[in-house]
Amino acid sequence: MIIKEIKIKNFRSYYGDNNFFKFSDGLTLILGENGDGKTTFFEALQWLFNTTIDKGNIESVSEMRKSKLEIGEHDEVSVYMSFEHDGIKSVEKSFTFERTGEYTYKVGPLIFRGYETNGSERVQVNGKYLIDRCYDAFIQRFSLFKGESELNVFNDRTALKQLVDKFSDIRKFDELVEFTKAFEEKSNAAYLKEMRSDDRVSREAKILENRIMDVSQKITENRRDIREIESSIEVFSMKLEELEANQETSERYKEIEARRKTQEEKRNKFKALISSVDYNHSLLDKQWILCAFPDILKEFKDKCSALSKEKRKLERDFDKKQAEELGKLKAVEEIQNTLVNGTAGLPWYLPNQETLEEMLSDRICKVCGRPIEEDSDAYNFMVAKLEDYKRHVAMKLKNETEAQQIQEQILFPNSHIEDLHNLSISLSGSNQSFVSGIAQEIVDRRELVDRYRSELKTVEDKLQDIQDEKARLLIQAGNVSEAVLEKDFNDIRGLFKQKGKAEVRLAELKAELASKEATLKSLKDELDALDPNSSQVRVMRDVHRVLDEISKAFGHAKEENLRRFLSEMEEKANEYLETLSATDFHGRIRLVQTANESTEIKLFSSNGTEISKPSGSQKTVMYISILFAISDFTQEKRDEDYPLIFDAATSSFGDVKEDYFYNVINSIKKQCIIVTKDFITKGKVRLSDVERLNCPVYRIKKADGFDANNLATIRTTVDKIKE
Amino acid sequence: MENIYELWAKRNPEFEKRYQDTVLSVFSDYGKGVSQYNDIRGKIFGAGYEVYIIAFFIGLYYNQTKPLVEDTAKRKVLGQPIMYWGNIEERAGRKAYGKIREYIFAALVARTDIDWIALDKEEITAQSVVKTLIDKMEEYANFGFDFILDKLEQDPNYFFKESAFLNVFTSFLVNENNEDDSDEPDDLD
Amino acid sequence: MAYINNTDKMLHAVLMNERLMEFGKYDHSEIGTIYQALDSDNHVINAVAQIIKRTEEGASEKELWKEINEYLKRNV
Repeated sequence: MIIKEIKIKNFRSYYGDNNFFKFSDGLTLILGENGDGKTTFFEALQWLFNTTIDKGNIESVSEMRKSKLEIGEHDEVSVYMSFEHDGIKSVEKSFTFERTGEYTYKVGPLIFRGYETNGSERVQVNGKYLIDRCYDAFIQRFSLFKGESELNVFNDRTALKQLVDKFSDIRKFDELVEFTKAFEEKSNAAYLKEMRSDDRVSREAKILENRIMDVSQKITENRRDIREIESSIEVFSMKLEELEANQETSERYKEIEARRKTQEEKRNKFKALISSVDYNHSLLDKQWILCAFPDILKEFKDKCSALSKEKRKLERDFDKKQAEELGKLKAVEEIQNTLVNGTAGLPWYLPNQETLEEMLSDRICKVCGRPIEEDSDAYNFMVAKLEDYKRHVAMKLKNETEAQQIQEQILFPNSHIEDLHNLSISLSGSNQSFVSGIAQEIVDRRELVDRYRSELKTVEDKLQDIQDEKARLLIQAGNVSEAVLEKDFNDIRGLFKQKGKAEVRLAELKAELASKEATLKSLKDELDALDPNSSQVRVMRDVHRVLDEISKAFGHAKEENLRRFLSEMEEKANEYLETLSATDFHGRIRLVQTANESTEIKLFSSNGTEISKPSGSQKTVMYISILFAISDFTQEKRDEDYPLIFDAATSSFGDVKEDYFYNVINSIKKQCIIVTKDFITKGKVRLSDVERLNCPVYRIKKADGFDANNLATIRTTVDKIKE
Repeated sequence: MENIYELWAKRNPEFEKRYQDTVLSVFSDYGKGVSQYNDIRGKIFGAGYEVYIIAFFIGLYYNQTKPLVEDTAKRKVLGQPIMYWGNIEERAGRKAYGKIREYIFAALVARTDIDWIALDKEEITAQSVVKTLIDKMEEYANFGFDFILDKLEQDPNYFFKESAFLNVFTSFLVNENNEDDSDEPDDLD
Repeated sequence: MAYINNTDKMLHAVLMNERLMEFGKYDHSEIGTIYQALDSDNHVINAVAQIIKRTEEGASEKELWKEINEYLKRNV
């Protein structure tokens, strides 16, 4: 079956009638990001192919279309596909919807129509019938995959069963195996029953039978114990694997954390150093505000110095003048002293003023005793002398007063200039050097801070890198939380011990089982070897033997069949794997059967070790290879192929491989429709890369201008961007 | 005889009221009292006088004065007399810086034309000298306030950038350096 | 190559079993188509053919058991 066209009308985000895809016989790519309408595309197809639904649902209708309807107006939802399958056919599912009120709608009946060409005529057929015939549910399961998680078809056990049934060489083994097993049991029961009534051997037969039953019972228990231990060993192994993976992750995590702490300490140190000096406060506290002060300080000092000088000069001048005046007075005094006839003041040996006055009033000279007559020469002489003396004393007094006055004259009663000078001195020397050095101190500090800042940036960049590393590690570790990674993995030792014990026990049980089975076999042989009397018994024994062998043969044939099927599929899948991977490493797919009849897809490297955690892209390629292999089977068995339609995030491939990968798929002779977010970077399609593709490419996109909270504003646009 | 410095230091300079909310409170906890934990409020400086000092030095270095408005109703007296300026509690990384008062005084002496000789001769009073000094101080500071306000009006965030105030003062160094360029370079030793 | 239907393939798959061949004392040349096997004198070959054919025809387990049991009782 090859899909030709698909049209989607008013289905969810596909508003209106312009959503149209035309597909090539090989690969067609549909580009879109999450939310653009990728999932809705699949859902539209699933809706179309689902033959079990029988009515329309208003939930499927485009909100935008609904919101634009007037009350009473109607429109329809439809998904249409034309395809080639033994002639051109088409199928369409639709229903009408009508707005009956502001918030109410009504839907019409579901119409599911198909068309096929019969010779040259186009005939209408029932859609369900057509789909069941051409693209039934079984095939859909290996054809249409909504999400990448669905690509692992063998996750579902029944899928494998169905595949084997449909495509393996031989079908319908299950029933036969069941029957033949039942026959073996029945014949055994009949045989034993006969044995018990045979007179010759009945007693021994009974004993043996009992013992056989006994041992069989023990074997069953033993088998059960083995299964239990095996499953717990599996659990231990899984946990150990997890822990070991985590251990490695944990060690790396701890190392990253240690580095982070170191860098954080560095960062804190630098931050503290940078903030340790507050520029604004330093203006005052460190007197940085005085950085431009030296000149002013000099001005001040010079002024003080000048003032002091001036003052001293004035003082000196003043003193000089003072001394001059004093000198003048002194001269005057001296002159005064020599005034009276060349005589100086009364000599010391002569009477003083008092005595003179006494003498004059007593009229007697106290020196020689002669009386002094008033108005005599001696008397007048003494009076004159007394007058002189008094005058002299008065003058002297006046002189002295004057001198004192002169001396008491102060030019500068205040000494503020001295205070200024002292201040100037105190601001000199070390203070002045300090002030001069402030400008440099500021420069130095700023340079230092700049250095700290650049080192801080380096540390912060390192911290960012470490953070990214940590994030990548956590992503790789999957669901493991940081807390788990931090735990000390002594758990591993404990688990190892437990696993070891379990393995020992398992070996014991297996040995026991082997010996029991040997016992059972020998008992059965003994039973068999009994020579019964009645031929009837012998016959039944022989019948049982035959049926036993036949049952085993059927079982074996079934296993062989499955093995061969898987081997063939493996072979085909690996061919595709090689084509899709080209020169890249790809390992080998192995389809491994597990205990409970299911199959796992595993990847092995060439030296035989399993690649237990294949990358996202490796997984995608693996599954696609298997799907191609399965479609090969369909091709062989049904002589009719069908398309592969899926959503693949090959973004894990890395840009280099994208176009190569898709071009390879395009070269395989199978129709593929791949919806992907590849080739889109930041919302824009990388057209230059798209040009390198050899297949048609569509772009689906949420139309601009939408309101994320209002569904009615959302619509998907479909654009063909490459033929 | 009372020391002029001491007399000057007892004074509280005046400023124009309009700068209280536009400049002083913006950068300091002016009005809130010194005992508050200034840092919590996120103001750059603590007491109002700190901003006053900044403004003063701006005027001083630009060597430009701006007389205060004549209407005394439009003036206000700073809460703390000069003698307490810089006596801060050494807490939260701050240090006392009382010495700066002497430098301020020295600058005022340098930049005023006081007849100190006449003062020492008692021909003029100490009060008048102090008045001249204070006037000069106020006028330098007034210019500084105007400068700050002008910058804030252009960019309200201007002085909140870390080195904004510092840069104002280091810019004066640049000018001085430019002047020095014309001199002979010093010997290296 | 002649078209081999499913039943014939099944027959071959079961009968081409070394152990069974030893037990039943036959070799591969004696295995033919399902119809040939139903005619065979070898009771193992015949029984297997019967089981396969009758199951395909839709016989129930009970029915088939009876038939096979009787057949083998007579022919073993």
